[in-house]
Amino acid sequence: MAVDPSDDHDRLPCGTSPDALLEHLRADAATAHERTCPHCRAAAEEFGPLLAALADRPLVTAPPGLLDDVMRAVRAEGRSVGAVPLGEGASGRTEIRRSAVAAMLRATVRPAGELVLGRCHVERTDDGIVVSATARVLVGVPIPEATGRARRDMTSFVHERLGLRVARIDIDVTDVIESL
Amino acid sequence: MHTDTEPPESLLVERAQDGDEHAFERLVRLHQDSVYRIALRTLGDAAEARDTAQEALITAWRRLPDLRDPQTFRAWLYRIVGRLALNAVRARRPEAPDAPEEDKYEERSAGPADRALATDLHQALVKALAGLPPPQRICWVLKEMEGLGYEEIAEIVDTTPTAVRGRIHRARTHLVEALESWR
Repeated sequence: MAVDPSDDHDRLPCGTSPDALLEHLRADAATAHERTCPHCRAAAEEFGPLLAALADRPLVTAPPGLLDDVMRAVRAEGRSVGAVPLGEGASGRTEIRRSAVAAMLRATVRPAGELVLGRCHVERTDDGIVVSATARVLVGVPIPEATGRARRDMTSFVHERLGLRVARIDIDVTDVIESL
Repeated sequence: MHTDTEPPESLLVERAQDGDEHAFERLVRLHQDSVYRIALRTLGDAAEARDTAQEALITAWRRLPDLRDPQTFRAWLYRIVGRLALNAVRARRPEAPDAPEEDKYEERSAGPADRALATDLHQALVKALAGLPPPQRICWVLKEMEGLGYEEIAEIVDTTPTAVRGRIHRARTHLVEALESWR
């Protein structure tokens, strides 16, 4: 890790930053100056126990059950992200959670193996469903073709599975990645 | 371009922002150890650290929709646990009103209690860390035990990189002194 040379809190008499020295000693990468300078060598000796304590410290991991307890609370709370109305008739009203639609849209485009959706906001308007999504595209894949296929897949899904038409699908490509 | 072979973390963050619990669970798996360690090293008590880590992760789920830049998730999460841990420390002792943050804690040299009784070097370090004012302790833990840079630590503890450098310098001086007998 780089050490900012502007750090002048406690320079050694030779001008070396103790932070830099400590960093180099931890990485076993002391400079020629640090190996021979008496000030640096004295400081290195002082740092010895601290360096040894850091090197020998046991790996502390989260206690068992923390993940389960957190996820139990998360699932119990859920998140109110609203719902998309699918229709209303004499027998009742049907709506679907936006998060469920987003999850299904992500699954719909995944089989293509060239683009993956991140955020996926779904809104029903008078003109139909509006989707706003972010996406990462696999390196080497032509982006217009990939986003075009994703739009077609999502449009088919919305039409066939939700019984609605698509007004527009906005895709913001935020990154290019090596694997999906 | 993202070059790791794993899908980028920011993708999981974006999905969790949309309410995807599976994505959030993967984020918890990735970060729960660091979150717990930060709480443990700041509080020095395993039970309190577990409670604080749990509260931090649940708070992250609740506030995730407000996170503007998914790339900053790690610093944002560490800031949540860092603040909760410091609040827990502060709740243990009467606070000096209107005092600067570090002045609320007793600044002292490494004394016999920091040097004695440790049966191994690691225990000695843990004891010496407990003797640091919490704002110094959390900066040192984030730098030397979690490998974060000054800028990121400054974001997490809500101060300037210069103040972080100063705290780490004072922490190191204290720890070197406390571990002197192990030389």
